[in-house]
Amino acid sequence: MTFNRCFCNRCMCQFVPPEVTANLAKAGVETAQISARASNQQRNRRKNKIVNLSTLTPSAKVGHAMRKIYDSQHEWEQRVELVRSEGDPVNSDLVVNKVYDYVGIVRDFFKKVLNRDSIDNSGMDLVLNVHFGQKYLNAFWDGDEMTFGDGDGEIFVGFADSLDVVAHELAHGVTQFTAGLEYKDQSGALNESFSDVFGTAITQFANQETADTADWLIGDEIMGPRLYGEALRSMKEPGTAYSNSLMGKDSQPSHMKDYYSGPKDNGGVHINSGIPNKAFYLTSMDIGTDKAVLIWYTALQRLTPTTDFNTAVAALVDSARLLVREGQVPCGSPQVVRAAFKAVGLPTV
Amino acid sequence: MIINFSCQGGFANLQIAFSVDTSELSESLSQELIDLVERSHFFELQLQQAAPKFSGPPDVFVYELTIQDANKSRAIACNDVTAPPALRPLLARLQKLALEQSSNSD
Repeated sequence: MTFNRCFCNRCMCQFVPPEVTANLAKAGVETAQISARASNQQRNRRKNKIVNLSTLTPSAKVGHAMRKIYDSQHEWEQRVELVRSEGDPVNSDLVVNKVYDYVGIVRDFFKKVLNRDSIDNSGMDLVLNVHFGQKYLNAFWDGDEMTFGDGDGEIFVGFADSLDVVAHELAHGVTQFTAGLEYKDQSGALNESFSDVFGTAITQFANQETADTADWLIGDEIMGPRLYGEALRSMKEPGTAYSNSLMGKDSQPSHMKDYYSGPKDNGGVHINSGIPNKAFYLTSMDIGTDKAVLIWYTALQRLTPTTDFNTAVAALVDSARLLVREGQVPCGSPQVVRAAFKAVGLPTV
Repeated sequence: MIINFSCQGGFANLQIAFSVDTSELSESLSQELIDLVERSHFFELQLQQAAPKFSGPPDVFVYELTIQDANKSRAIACNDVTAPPALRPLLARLQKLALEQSSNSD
């Protein structure tokens, strides 16, 4: 018997919380997904996801972690033209080459350092779209591929020009295929924080930096001339990354006493991530980023979609204990992790 | 035509908004926006199932757009994954105007 279904592990396209629909209806807002017929992008993505389940088992290898770089050619579409695949010679487009190299670094880090075979740990191919849209000021992971804009050259420059950003987006995929942290409130802040953790750890790894010598900034490479010198987040000092008229002031807290509990940013996913980010920084300063990221990655595989900060702290301490027993991190690591979180006000009672 | 636009989220976690009555704009900008609305087929867009306003894919922008024109009014919300290509030029222009407004607010 053959079954067809959407292939991604935790398909977001099927998730329509009834309370959201009801609230929006009350507000007179048509929050809506555009018809598949009206969007080639959506249609093609779904078409690509139809698979014959009879040929798969949960542990089946589904790819070889091949890099596939597509050029959106400034259209608002993904997969417009495949311009460089794994093993292809250098392309004439420097952005294509840079993102190809960066995603290779990220893939190799997960493989060699964390023993993870691509995003899904089954060799999933790595699909990236560059030159998306016109002066698009963003990069995102959509559930199965990464997409990067060129920025406007004034506020932000190319998002694919930053290893931080590429690693951050790919790490969202890893989170999706492990903990599946829901992208809202504390689980969403953890989702964001894990992406920053892997982003900075991989950047330090690639640049042969240590916790002492790294700048601990996220997004500093993509700030354009009008924001030059600023960054989007500081893991070392959350809340100090930027202050300007365009973006306002960095609102990330570094302690639970300043926790953001409002509705914006999906309940503060990019805001409250400053708290666990700071704990990762403090841990890294004590035992090294290479050991800290091992603890964080081990814990990520033990979390669930609705994990909150307190539960994450417990999982991180447990993971540190496990890795001590295996001789992979120093003996005092559980205490270091516990102290790092205590310094940011966690766990709460 | 009255336009209310907001954009939040993204890798940079932007929180920007732009509201305008096109009759109060310069003739060229007013016409540009009216043309963009026209070309986006905003009032005719076919919208399917409701998508989550929150908890969307990581780092996407979430757009909310309300337009009132003569006796027509419509409000929609979408994100970078669900926004139709036809609406994109309008969203991008409004985002730029919102950023310019933020920049001039100091």
